[in-house]
Amino acid sequence: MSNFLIKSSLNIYVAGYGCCKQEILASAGPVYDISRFGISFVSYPESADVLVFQGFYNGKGLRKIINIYNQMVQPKWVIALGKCALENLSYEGSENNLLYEFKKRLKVDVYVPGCPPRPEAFIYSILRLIEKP
Amino acid sequence: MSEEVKDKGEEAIGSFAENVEKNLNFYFGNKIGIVYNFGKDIFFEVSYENLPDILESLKNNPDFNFNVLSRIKYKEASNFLIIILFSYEKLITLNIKVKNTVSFLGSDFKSITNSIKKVFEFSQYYSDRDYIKDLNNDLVIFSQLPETLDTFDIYVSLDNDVIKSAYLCDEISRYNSGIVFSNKEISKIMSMLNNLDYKAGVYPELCFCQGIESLMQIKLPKRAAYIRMLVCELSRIICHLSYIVSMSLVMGNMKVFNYALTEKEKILNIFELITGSRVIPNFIRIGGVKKDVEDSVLDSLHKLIPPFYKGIKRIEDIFFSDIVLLERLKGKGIVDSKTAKISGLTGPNLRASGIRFDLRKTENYLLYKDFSFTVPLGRFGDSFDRIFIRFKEIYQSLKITGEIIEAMPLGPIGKMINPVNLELIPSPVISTVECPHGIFKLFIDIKESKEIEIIPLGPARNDIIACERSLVSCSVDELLPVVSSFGIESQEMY
Repeated sequence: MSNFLIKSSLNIYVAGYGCCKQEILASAGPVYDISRFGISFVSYPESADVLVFQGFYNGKGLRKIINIYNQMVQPKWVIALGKCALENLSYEGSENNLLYEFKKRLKVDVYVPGCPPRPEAFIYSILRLIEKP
Repeated sequence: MSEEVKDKGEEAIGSFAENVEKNLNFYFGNKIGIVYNFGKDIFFEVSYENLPDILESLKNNPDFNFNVLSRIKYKEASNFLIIILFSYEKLITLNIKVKNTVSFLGSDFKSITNSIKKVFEFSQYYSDRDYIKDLNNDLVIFSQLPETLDTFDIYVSLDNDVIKSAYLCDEISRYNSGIVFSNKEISKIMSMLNNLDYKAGVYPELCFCQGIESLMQIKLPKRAAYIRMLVCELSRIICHLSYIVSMSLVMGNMKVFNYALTEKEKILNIFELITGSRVIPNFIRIGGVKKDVEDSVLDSLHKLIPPFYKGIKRIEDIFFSDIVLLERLKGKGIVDSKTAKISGLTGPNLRASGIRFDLRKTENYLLYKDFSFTVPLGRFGDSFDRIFIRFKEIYQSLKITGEIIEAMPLGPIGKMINPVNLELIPSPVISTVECPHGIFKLFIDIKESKEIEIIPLGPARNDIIACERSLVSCSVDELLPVVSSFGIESQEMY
């Protein structure tokens, strides 16, 4: 029941930068208007329910995101968005396979393919997350 | 009459480049390798031992007069340095490749920047600066949600409310382009080039294709050049609009945010009809473009221009009628024309400081000389001017797109060239392009095994230098608007 209440007003934290972030920003605009599903974007990890994991990373960036994930309060969900996050194509530095380790440490709930996925795809992924038991 | 004057001007610049080439061979002789001349870009190789003497004479000798250090780039995978110098009097760029006689890693790389530091003061910004983190930690702002502030952490040292010094740490966004772009075939590289600029992905493609075309001496069909210009100007408008969107998010003006996003979607729809994608176009090919533009699309774009112009005008009126907002922007984060020159700024941030320099006017790449447009200028170089210039550039781009549609010629859209079977001469190529943020440059090294190595050199690095210098003696409240007004895009940085 508590999950149902949380899912009716999700707070989303978008980590990283890149092409996918532009499409996420477009979904917040008046044309796609994601806020009609009760969804809002936050910049504090403590108040976030969903972590969106997208864009280009090196080792330090990834470590930062794991920090952000640890600060989030239960229950929490993760969405992996775009080609870079799904296919380990991110620009890694000297430390290899950090992305692989990231996926081992936490459970990704929804994967969204595309380079970059359209705003509709992002909205659809969040609706699937809400439907999930 | 005016065309004759233009031709004379081009000849003069061409002879400047030849003179520099001759002088280089005359003064340095055996110290330098073969001198390549790509229009206004000159390229040669030097060994590390001769570097300090050559740099000193390049700066102080009146025959050269290269007094601006625009970039130092260290290539870790293949162990060499690239140093780029620029002269504002002759408008010529000098690219120097320092060969790998010693290992630049660790202390040796620092010693190189120290030797350059005696000649060029700004070389300190290109060395290893992570130690500043410990000195400037009165206030640390980590990367956060709005678009322009998501790629670096800001370390600030304070004296009460006033900033003494600031450091933009970009360690999250440093990536090793050597893994992605080195030793690959042309067809593989062309599919990845868009990621170098995620707001205007056409420009890296254009830059790469122009470099290969100049090497193979391919002449573009007129219609292909016009379609390229059309796509470039549309993506310039999209890029500037997304800058305004992120700026309005930082300033907290949600009305502008909503209006700018709706206008941006209108242009994105047309852009998708032409190229097939919203953000990553993958549209420009060697010798032409991917597909033709239909007349119905051109008609609908032509009808869209007047209402779009009104929409942008409305956004500008709302944005600049807010007195509180103007108080936070005017006179804050000033970059005067002298520091703008020395730090090697390019693009709208340079023009905001009152220096007229645009590659579309000076170099005449593509067919921009067919159209009449002006290069807008700012007066003081503060945050207000940097936003104001972007609005003016959108109007100019709209004017150019209207003229392109009216004068669109008929004909082929390109030559059928298969990138797999290209017969390329192994040599270095440098090509430049005026992208929405500044001058984007690609260093392309073609090897004998037909594999290609690419080094992207974007304008964001110089923006960071100018930003750090302009933050000194600002108050803390002004920090975020000033930093985001530069529009730094870190994907081009490394």
